[in-house]
Amino acid sequence: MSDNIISFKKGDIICKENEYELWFYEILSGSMTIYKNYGLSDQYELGKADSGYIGEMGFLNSMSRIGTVVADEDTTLAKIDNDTFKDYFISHPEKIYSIIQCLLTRLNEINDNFLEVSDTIRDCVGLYEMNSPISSALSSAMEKFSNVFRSRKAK
Amino acid sequence: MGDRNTISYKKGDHIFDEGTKDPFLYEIESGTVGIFKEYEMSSEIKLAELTEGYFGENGLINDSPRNATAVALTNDTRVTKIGSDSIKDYFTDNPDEFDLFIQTISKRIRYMDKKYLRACEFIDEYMTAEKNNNPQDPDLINNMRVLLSGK
Repeated sequence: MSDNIISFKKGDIICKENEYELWFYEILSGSMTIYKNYGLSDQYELGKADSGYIGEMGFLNSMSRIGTVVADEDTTLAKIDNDTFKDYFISHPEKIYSIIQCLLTRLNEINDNFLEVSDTIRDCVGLYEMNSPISSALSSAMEKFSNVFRSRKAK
Repeated sequence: MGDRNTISYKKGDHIFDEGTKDPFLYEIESGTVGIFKEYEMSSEIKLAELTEGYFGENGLINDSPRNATAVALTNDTRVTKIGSDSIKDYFTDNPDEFDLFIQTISKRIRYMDKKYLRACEFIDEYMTAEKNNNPQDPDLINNMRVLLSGK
């Protein structure tokens, strides 16, 4: 299994935003930061990681990388691709729970987002039916979801 | 294989209820299962309608009560119930099932993400009409109602 262990030094780019890669990584040691628009004047941080998995959403959902991942220190990762996925978890059954937890956390986040936007949609339909004005609270919620749509449409 | 058993349900039977503790994973053998938030209340939202694969996966990983109700939507609904204590052994003994489970969750993530983005698009359209002092498009309102109905 050692040929899928990859080391990175501080400052190394682990993966690049918008690239499609047919693998993801388990973090064995070290830490990293995920950036949007890395290297550009409007660069900002999406988050940090020092345990668990990185890139699993892109791998499992055939999506391009949402950000550029840069090692913050000497970092060691296990690379898991389509060929090794099943065997990796079956030979490390103690990790089965962790990948399941990782995916379910993401699914629960999306479900919660959908429920939140559904509440706003319900309010919009109610306003239309009652011909009522939009409250400032509803206006803020609508602005938030409108921005989500516009920022993802821009990709 | 640990504690697994297959159960038959009639249309309308509850498989598990929102707010209850239920540490099981379910696999659909036949029929159709609906997943609802606030089932049979005025604020009911249908989250999903499933005819294959796994559901109830949150029963595996945390001690929290169910955040949705699962209901048999057809008379021929049969599901296999797998205890959370058995899941590691179950997937180790059945690696193809592990693969299927992961693919099921991934598909669900993609599906819900698309629905979420569609909902955000509707709100964007609604806001644009408001900002431009245009009347709302009745088709947009209808689409919003369909989204809420889960169809």
